[in-house]
Amino acid sequence: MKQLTAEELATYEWQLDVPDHGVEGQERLKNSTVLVSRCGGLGSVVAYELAAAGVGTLILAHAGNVKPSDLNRQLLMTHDWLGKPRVESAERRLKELNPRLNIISVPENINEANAERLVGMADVIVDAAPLFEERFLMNREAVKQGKPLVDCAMYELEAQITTIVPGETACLSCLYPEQPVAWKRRFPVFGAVSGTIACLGAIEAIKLISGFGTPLTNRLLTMNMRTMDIQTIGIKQRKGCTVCGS
Amino acid sequence: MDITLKFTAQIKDVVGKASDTVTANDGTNLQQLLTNLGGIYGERFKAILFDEKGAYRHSNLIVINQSQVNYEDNVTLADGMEITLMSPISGG
Repeated sequence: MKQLTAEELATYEWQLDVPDHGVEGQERLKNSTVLVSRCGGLGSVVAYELAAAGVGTLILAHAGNVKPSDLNRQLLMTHDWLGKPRVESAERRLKELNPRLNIISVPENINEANAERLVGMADVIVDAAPLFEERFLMNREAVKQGKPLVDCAMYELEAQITTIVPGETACLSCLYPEQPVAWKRRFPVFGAVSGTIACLGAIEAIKLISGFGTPLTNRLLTMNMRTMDIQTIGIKQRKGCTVCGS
Repeated sequence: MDITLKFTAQIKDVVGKASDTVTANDGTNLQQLLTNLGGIYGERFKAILFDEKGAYRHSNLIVINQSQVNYEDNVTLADGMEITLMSPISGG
């Protein structure tokens, strides 16, 4: 395991004081790889917080070029990068924050051809994709390969998050055994909503890697930012789940 | 008896409000209530909860007392119960 350099010890000085984290936890972050898909309103902020926290390697999967309508929420995309690849913008911004960060940029969304390989390269997956097809693929591979997956999502002023640990918790297909019929690709969104749930996703990934705290397993945290109602719902494995075989 | 309903995401959009209170006969169970709600909230609501053959779409989460409940659990309802119907979300 690679040890912290003097520069890293100085950079992470204040978070090294977090009880149960310390130098050992920070070294685990440095030696970890997290897959973030995609780097939109949610994934951008997840990636930014993980880069700030000192995760060693980020795999960023996101297709397409920056569009004007990305800029209200996708905080790794900038006006001067309009028309250019999103993952390049994300990489550039993350490197400004943390030049030590190793980034594997994948200018594709998660699909059948790349899901197994990309999940296989990661220690933790943070699922921030806008389509259930991509989420189900990451869930399937995470379960198959025994990788923890943090699933975070939002819609309008609502948001939710759960942490899936294969063999211990309900998986995404336990929660949603069928393709949801009502979901539409375009959804109402403020960046502050996706960013809020993204920060929770990032801290879940940090906790899983460092090994402190209690992960959000078998619980779905829901937030309604219109009313500021927050609750944690007990969720359970589905008997006969076709993915995790609960 | 009175049942408080809460709705999220697309279900909330179709119903047009985030919560409602409905009256049900004593002894009504969860499956009967959900079927009856189709008559109150209309065809679009019904199409989210049930397929063309009338089978429940399990990707809509049912929450009672902060715990997920399966449609098949067929809970018997009680006066004052709060049921949340959650439409799956995937925004990122």
